[in-house]
Amino acid sequence: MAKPNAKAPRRWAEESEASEDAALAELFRAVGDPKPMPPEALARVHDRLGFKRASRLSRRMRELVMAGGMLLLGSSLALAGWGASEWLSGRSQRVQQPAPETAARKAAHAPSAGQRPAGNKRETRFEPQEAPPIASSGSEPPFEPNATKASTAASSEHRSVPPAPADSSGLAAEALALERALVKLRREHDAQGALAVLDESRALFAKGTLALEAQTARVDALLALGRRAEALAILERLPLAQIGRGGELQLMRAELRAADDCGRALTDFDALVTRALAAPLMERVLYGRAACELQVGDRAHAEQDLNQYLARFPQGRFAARVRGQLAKLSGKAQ
Amino acid sequence: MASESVPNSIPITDSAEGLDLDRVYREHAATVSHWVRRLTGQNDASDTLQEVFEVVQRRLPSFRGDAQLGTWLYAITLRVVIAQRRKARLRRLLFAQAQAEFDLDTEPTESPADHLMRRQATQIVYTVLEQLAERDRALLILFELEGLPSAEIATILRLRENNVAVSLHRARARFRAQFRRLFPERAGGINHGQAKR
Repeated sequence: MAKPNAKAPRRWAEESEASEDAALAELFRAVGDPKPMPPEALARVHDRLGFKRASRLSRRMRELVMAGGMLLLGSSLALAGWGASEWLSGRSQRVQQPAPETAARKAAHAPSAGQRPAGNKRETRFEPQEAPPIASSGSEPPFEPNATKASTAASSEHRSVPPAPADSSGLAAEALALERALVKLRREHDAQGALAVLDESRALFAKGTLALEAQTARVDALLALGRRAEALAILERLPLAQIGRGGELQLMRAELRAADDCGRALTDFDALVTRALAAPLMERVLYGRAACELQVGDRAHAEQDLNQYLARFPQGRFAARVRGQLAKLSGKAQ
Repeated sequence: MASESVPNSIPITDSAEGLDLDRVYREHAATVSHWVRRLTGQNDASDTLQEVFEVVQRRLPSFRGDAQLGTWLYAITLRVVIAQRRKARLRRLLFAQAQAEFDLDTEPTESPADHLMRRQATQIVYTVLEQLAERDRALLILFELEGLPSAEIATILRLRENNVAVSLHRARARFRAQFRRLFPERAGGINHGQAKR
């Protein structure tokens, strides 16, 4: 197994059962990946933050008003003093002249008063964004959906930056298109129709906020149509670590790879075995890995995985086949 | 093998231009909440998340994009979590409160047996981590659970990259020692490396 970094040791979760740290390996493998907070909870925190910001703004406004008031008071006092001295010196007829100046000063202060509405912006409500499109900075190249001609003309610098957040109406339209595709796919079982909607959506929102989700839906639709090679091609490009269903998609990729190239499929299966996956997925991982190990002639590990499968899923959906395979292997050994 | 469960880096990059709190929150709050849960070992992350973004709000004008936004956010998250843990520890000492149970919501579809196994493992790992110094604890979480590379760990913990492996080695030794002390029946034949304190 490759290490995450050449200088760093192997993670405990990646240690084998034969290692000195096997107990820790088992423990760290079992600690799951925590889910992010649900959108409603994120929205509540967002609202609390908005409230704090509003109070900060109003405090700043109060400070501005107070400063303006102090300035006005100061200038009035200065004017009064000046007027008094003028009167005392017998030039009372000119005392009225400061009035336009006062007006001018007030006019000069007007912009600061005009700033108030600017500081009193309406707080936008939080619209949860479950899986934001975030570009990977790691070794894996970030996934880029098929961009339009206009977007391909953009500089490479712009391409490395995550897409700017869509305004709420754009995001809503994109979400609606994705929802339509998912309804076609899952409720109406119309994979072809779903693909058509996804094509339309891709033309409009090539770098949209939900591009990754759209690609995931495309994979599901292609698999439903039996277009496995195209599904695999997309899965090869997707940054699976950034997607909520990353484990499941990696398993799909492993199973698709297994058809042609068990060596590469094993890379995925090995990674998946160390993850805390749901039981139905883990079942497929163990079975798939054993099948691939048999394919590449690694009988010892295949037997180990088949036995592990039976130990964990004695009533599993592949249990009968696994028992048959084990019997076949022990027969050959004899 | 490049494991998908081991993210090669914190998957957030951004330029400093055009960032405001609203945008940072909308795009990254879910990820930060995941980090908070990971760092605390508990599901309740709302207050910490709010505090993290209050710090982000204060510091955002000075973020020039020297570090990746993700690394910058992670470093803030870690410091907020450490500060809150200190306060919580003090409260527990003053008011003789018990440590809250460690648990993390994960895959909703897991079987009851898997759920139980994961819960037990989470409880054990975080109980042992609780015995360690904050830096060791953070180091082990970043490396063992988050799977971050040394360079990113070094930036977040303000260590030199060359020192990460050494610090990690020591932190692991201390973890093993505490694991053996607290859960001798599970420790079995683990490596008996010497722990230096």
